[in-house]
Amino acid sequence: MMFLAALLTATSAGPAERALLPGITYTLPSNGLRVILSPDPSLPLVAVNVWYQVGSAHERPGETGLAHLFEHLMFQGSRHVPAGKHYQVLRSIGAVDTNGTSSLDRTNFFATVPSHQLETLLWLESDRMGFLELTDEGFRRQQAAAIAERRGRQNAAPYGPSNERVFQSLFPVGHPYHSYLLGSQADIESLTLDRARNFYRRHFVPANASVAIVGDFDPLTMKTLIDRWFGSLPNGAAPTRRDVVTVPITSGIDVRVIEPVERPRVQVAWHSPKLLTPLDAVAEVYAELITRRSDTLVAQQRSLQHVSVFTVTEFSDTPAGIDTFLRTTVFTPDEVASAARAIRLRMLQALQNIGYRADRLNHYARFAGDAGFANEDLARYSVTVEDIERFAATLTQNRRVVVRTVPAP
Amino acid sequence: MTRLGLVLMFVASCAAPEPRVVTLTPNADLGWRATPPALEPGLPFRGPAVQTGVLPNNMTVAVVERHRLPVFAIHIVIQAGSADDPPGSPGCAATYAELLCPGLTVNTTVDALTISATVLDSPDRILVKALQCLRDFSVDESTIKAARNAIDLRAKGSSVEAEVHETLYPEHPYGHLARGTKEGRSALTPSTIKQFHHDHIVPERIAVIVVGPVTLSAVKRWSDEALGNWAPTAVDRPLVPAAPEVHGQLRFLAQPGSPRVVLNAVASGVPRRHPDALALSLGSAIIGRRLNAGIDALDLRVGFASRRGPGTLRIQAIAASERAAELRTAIIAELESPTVTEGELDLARRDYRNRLPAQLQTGEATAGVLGALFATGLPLDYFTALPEKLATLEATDVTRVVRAHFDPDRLSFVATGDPSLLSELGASIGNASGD
Repeated sequence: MMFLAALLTATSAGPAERALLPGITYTLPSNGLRVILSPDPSLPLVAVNVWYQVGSAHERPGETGLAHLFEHLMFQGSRHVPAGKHYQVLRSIGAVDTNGTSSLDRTNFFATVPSHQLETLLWLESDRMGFLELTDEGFRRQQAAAIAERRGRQNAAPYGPSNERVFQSLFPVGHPYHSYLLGSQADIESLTLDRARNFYRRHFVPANASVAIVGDFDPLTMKTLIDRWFGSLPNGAAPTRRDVVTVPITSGIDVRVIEPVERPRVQVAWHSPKLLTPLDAVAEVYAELITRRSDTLVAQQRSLQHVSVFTVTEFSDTPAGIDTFLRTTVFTPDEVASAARAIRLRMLQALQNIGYRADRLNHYARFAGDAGFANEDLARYSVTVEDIERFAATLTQNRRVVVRTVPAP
Repeated sequence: MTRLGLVLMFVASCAAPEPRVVTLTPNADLGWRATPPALEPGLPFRGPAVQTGVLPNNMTVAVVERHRLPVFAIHIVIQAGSADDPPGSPGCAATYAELLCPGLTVNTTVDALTISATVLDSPDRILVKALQCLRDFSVDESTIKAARNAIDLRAKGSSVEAEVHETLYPEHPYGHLARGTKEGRSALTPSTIKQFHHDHIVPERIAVIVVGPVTLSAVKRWSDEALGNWAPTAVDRPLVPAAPEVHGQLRFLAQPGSPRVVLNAVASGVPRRHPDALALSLGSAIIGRRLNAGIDALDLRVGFASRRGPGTLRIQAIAASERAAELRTAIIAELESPTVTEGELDLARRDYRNRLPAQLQTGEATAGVLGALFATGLPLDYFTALPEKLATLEATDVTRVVRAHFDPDRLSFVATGDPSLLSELGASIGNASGD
């Protein structure tokens, strides 16, 4: 009945424009798993994308780095899929685009397979959702890998410590974004198998996950397969969400980080509008405009669930160049239209890939509350010069963080 | 899909036979999960639905209609590449490409030039602009200089790719990279480039390929309006000659202090149109599987880059420096028994069929795959006959082709690593040279 209701909802009154990402969304009554189906018979392929609503923002004090560690641990074997077999099976069925990623706000796992091999992929994904088996040996091995990854990507990478300091300055201790995904070295080293098992039980439950499937399948047959492989998983309550309060910066922060790099670098950062809002799109277009116009500045809107981060970076020892550029540069309507168009083109190009489409369905379902949000998402980029100017005016010196990277002598 | 489409889909689904329903409670015995789903037999391969036409001036037009997203991928492929560089002018095709259509991307390979663009709307505007670039091409000394500088900026120093070409194809049109050489580009004059344009840019060697929400008739109309009256005379395009007999060469690129060795074992293969080309592709995959199972390397890949002329077979293995000579010996040893079994062929065939659709997901990739067919002289409906060709391939065919082309005596080597490895590798191979 829920499936029928989902179909009727999906087909009820709505805008006449063609849906870029049509989908059927429903929830499994047995365990609360959200399912999003988007049939597309154009190629004999199916993409499966599983989202868990857990990222580094959901870690408790002392367990930072655990969300990222689970990106590794989820490949360590489950009750019915022995350790090491996951990738072996994926290879044997011709899977492509296979991986898992974690972020501040979520963790995902994905693969694309020939459509006749789909059920095998459902077996693999459902088994680790319901029956992950964590052994001490596997845990220790992946803990070491996570420590090495942190060292490579953050501690030892050029400007890695500076990038981390930007987040720590924008989001003080206690804010969910303070740990900046990879967590603290000390926390990762002190993690235990018990703590990991608790984290899994708390967050990797069907009620805290969604499965998006795109490609060449029949929806009713797919519903049967979903019932079989995911409907039989144990139930478990989704973790309660805490409210996120971001204290605004009101009197500017200016820090120096000494690193073994050759060139000084300055990064200026502001809190900016959260993802999928109209102003988030304005910030993204502004970042594109700055990067296109300037030969030396790189700007980025890093869109996040609770509050985003807007940065402008230059290889310099002072933010004076950034200040002058932001204060004096005026963009024409043609430039704004061209930048917005480039972003829309990149998005539509990416949506040709069914794996990316599945990921966006989960993204929209989670963050916009509507898996079919793609049309509204694209419409957000109808940005004007006035929108850009209004947003630029909010990037004041008293609201910003400046992180200066100073080459070690 | 529209909302109405979803309703219709649901109604159609309801009319289908009742699906198998499995009811389980969360606490039921879940031992059945230990049995993986049975692997289904492969579905018949469905290639892209290519519609083709030919304009009165003999230019080819191909369209794959895709109406799901408002994205148009446009490729204009010209059967002229760096293999057509005039003698003594390596880099002529690449420089011509740089000059051809400012504002659009023009890529050069050994076999073809491709103008490409992806747009959200008005594909006719880009298409007409690109075609008019071909018709109205002009060049002078100052524009050559700018093009030369642009290519020099992008060009890297000594590269493995350049060494592979020089090793396998001495005195051959494939003997240099598509971008040519700095010396070759420096010597180019406007008249050389005009002659290249005159000799190669003719409608019968051009294919317009569009993938997106568009019809063949529309693309034909736009192309005809842009270039319908343009019909310069073609000159014969010579066949790419067979590759010279080369074996046992070693080229070494020094990377002082590198803890790793990258060993490329290379040989020339057959042209893509050759009857053995498909067997060689599958044979490469089978060899790759064997080597990966038998050799402990950090990374090991085997591939066959097919071209209009003799393509390149390559085994690339990466290992710790101290294993350099052992790596070479292990590769040779694995190639000593080239008999391919039916089981190996079945697996390779299945992999080939399974992975192909994933390469055709985007308009850009699909246009690229079709462009490569045109560039190498294969028909654009190549994929229609492919399943039958795959099915009729026999293990004895693949064994014969593997035996002929992966013969250890035919291999040459291009390696990178610490200079101390040169003598060790050279002693085991002979004919060594290093930089």
